[in-house]
Amino acid sequence: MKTLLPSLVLVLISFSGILRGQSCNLTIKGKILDRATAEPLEYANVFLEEQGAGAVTDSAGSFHIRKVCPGHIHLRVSHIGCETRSFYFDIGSDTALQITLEHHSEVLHEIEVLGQTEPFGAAQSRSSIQEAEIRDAQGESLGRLASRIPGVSSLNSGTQISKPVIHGLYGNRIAILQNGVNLSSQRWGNDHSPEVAVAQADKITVLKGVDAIKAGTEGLGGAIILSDNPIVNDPHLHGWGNYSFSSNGRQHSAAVRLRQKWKGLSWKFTGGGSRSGDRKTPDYFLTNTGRANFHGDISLYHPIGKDNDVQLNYSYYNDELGILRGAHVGNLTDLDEAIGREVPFFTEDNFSYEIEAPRQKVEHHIISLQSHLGLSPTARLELKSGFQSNHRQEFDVRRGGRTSLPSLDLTLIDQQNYADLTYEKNGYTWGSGLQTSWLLNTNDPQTGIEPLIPDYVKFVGGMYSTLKKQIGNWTYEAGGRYDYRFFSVAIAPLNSQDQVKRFEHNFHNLMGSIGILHRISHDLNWSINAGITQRQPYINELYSSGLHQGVAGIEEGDRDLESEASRKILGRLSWHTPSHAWIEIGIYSQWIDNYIYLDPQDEIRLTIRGAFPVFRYVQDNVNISGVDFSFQLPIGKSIEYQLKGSALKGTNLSDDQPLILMPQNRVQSGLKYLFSEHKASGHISLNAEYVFRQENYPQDEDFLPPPDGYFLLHGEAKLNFELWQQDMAFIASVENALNTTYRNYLNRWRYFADETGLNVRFGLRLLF
Amino acid sequence: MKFIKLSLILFSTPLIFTSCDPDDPDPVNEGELITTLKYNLTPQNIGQTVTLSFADLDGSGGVDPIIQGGTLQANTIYSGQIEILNQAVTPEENIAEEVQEEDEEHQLFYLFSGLNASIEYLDADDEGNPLGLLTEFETGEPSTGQLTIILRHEPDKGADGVSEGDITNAGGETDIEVTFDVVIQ
Repeated sequence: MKTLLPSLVLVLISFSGILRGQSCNLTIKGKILDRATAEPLEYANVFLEEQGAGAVTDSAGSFHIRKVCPGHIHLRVSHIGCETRSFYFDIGSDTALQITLEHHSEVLHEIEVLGQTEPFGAAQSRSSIQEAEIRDAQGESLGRLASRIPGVSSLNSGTQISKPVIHGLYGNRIAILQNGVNLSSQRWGNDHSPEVAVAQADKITVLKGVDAIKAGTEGLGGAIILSDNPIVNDPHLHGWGNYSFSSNGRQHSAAVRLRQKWKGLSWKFTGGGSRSGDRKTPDYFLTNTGRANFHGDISLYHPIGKDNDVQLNYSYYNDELGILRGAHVGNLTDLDEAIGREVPFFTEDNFSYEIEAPRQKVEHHIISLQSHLGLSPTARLELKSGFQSNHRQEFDVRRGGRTSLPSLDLTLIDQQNYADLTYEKNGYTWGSGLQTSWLLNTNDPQTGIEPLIPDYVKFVGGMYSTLKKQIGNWTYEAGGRYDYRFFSVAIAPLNSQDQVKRFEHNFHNLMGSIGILHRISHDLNWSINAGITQRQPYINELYSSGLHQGVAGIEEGDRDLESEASRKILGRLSWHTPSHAWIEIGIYSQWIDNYIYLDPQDEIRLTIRGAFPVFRYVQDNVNISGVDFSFQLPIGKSIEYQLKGSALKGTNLSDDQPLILMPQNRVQSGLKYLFSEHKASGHISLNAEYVFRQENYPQDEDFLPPPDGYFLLHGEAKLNFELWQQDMAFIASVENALNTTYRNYLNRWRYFADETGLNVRFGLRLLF
Repeated sequence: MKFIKLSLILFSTPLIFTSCDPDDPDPVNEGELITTLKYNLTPQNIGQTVTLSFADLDGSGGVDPIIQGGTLQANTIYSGQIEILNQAVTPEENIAEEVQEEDEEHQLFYLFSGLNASIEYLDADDEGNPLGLLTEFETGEPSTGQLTIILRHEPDKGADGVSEGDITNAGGETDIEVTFDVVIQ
């Protein structure tokens, strides 16, 4: 919540379209509203770039620009605390516009839900992070960025590896959609970050509910959707360039976005990368925590006729990162020794950009082709096809010159097809779709180590239907889904005498949800959403076998696991006061039967490398319940106060014990001062964060009890200004301003090292 | 409508390329596997050679390892020699050679519990720090207890006490950790 920079949304209400004169006597008039509250916004600037004319909105939010020449125009709109943006269109007649400004982005996305074309369900709790905030947070991982939303946290391994956690669930239970296709990767690993570059996305949406029907049954815990703004219809080259430097880890990060309409084709390119070295806690360097990352994304969009279009997209992601050497342990004795230390083993006195073993290297490609077809004025068909390849290599410190040989070398290829139909009639919106996907995972035998997960083919066929109806202030919706999954597994023999072992699995999974949303008044609405989901066991849960390198544990899957069955109910209340204060509360409870988790066994297995604890995937019935809240209060014209927090509790119902690795309760509070001077605007904000100690944890199942709670202070200043007639933005931020030493329960390196200390970041952005 | 038909054909073609089963994976040749550690103790004067051994021929899991302790003479100096083998392959691999080649990155530690005994390193790496494949093992008065032998990969040999055989500050990763029951009489 460091920045809540709004973006602009422009709605063209009418073109009267009669007059098409050559003389400059046209008029543009319009109204600028706060999108959340529909209140008029005063003192917004509207500027016609081509003609140098402009206007300022009055107390009714209205503006008027006279003597406009016909032709192509760029209209620039700015307001206090908003990033300036321009819109392009062809003007041939007197025009009236309604421009809605996303002034409080947190408020906005909840209201946006009321839009009628939302495919993912109206009544469910969704929250999103908008473009400006994504840009300002350049260099952040998806997990850390998404955790700005109440109810979302991240499971980390150090600073660089971070997985999003939604309402206590993560990994195999969260679906991530990019470019419209389900991200296919080795997401079973707690130390595997999702292979997405947030810079490529214009919007990150988190679905916390159970009606992510389109996302499929693997999204039992929710879904994260990375989406793009529509490609603009502007023949001029536009975009932005970003550069930032972070003091902690000495990270340089740069990204560029270009977009243009060229003849019948619109294209968009995003590319960027970052390089960082060892991070630092308040007291010592975290040796071998550097990272080299780069990514590129290109989209081509071509409209065909009025109703059809086709879009081709290619994304590339490359990541190499070091694992803190002192967090990589051999056996239980090593672990005991590493845990007791003040400073981790292998800590160097000097900073370094070197990335040495243990390290990870990941490469991911996505190609997708999608097409929208207007079958009739009320029916639309969307076709999508995606191909992905993911190559993950993990390198350990090995004997006999084998350090340059990966210890884990997995290649995954994946092909997905979607056909989604939407049809509207008599106030009903009906959506239905078919999806298939095929996936092949292979191990490279060159590793010389028994693979943790075997080679397999997965085939999924799914179909779903959703129905939505609005009656007055009430919106009702329901949906159902069926998925068939087939696994064919081949386990490599450990020597040439053995045979390949083959197994097959079939799973039939159902999903269903209902939702009701009621707008009691313009300012007050509530919704309730309930659903069931069945998730099939994932390959690691069925087949893990052997030593999990670096974490001192032997993990064993169970081929007889059944599908998890979840029931979740989620209620939400949202209220805006006339004085622009806003409050939203969401509560939920989720029961999961046959919840699969890694359970420490009584057995300690003796090997020549010493003793190892054995963990086995087992199933029990569990419940996770919690509450998320957000509160926003404007103080005068230019100060905003914000408070948000979340709390949850996970319980294993079979023995009434708490669940392991559940997010801690947390509360965040912030003050933001917004200013707007002549040609310059911006904000200064201060945020305080308190994370409570996790008091609900299973006794005797962890190597260490949870660490203490901690208090952190962050600050940010942003200035939007104009230089040489270019829009620029300068951002300076401070993380962990007090240089507090702390450890986070959801960081798997907490046994070995402290969290990072003070980080100062400077960023410069050029918009054109 | 032509565009619609074309799209439908285009989007349904990828289904053709898929196969239902993964190919046969190649066998994994566990090159780093250690199955056996032997500690041969030969008395410098008279007496019998004693061999302490730990053998887990099928690696982790499966059949339990076979551990053989030993009985030593009191007040005797033994020459100790370590053998590290991978006996899961034929011919068996001598891992001790690998350790010898990378002597700067390895060190063996000998920990006593309840035994009146001590060891001294007889070998060293190029920097003059101990390795521990060759040792002198001296027994004291009769006693009963355990000897634990640990092979550390990438220990900090410069840390306090490590070159004297104290493992406390060594760090690194454990490649071998085995414990033998020993009687001194």
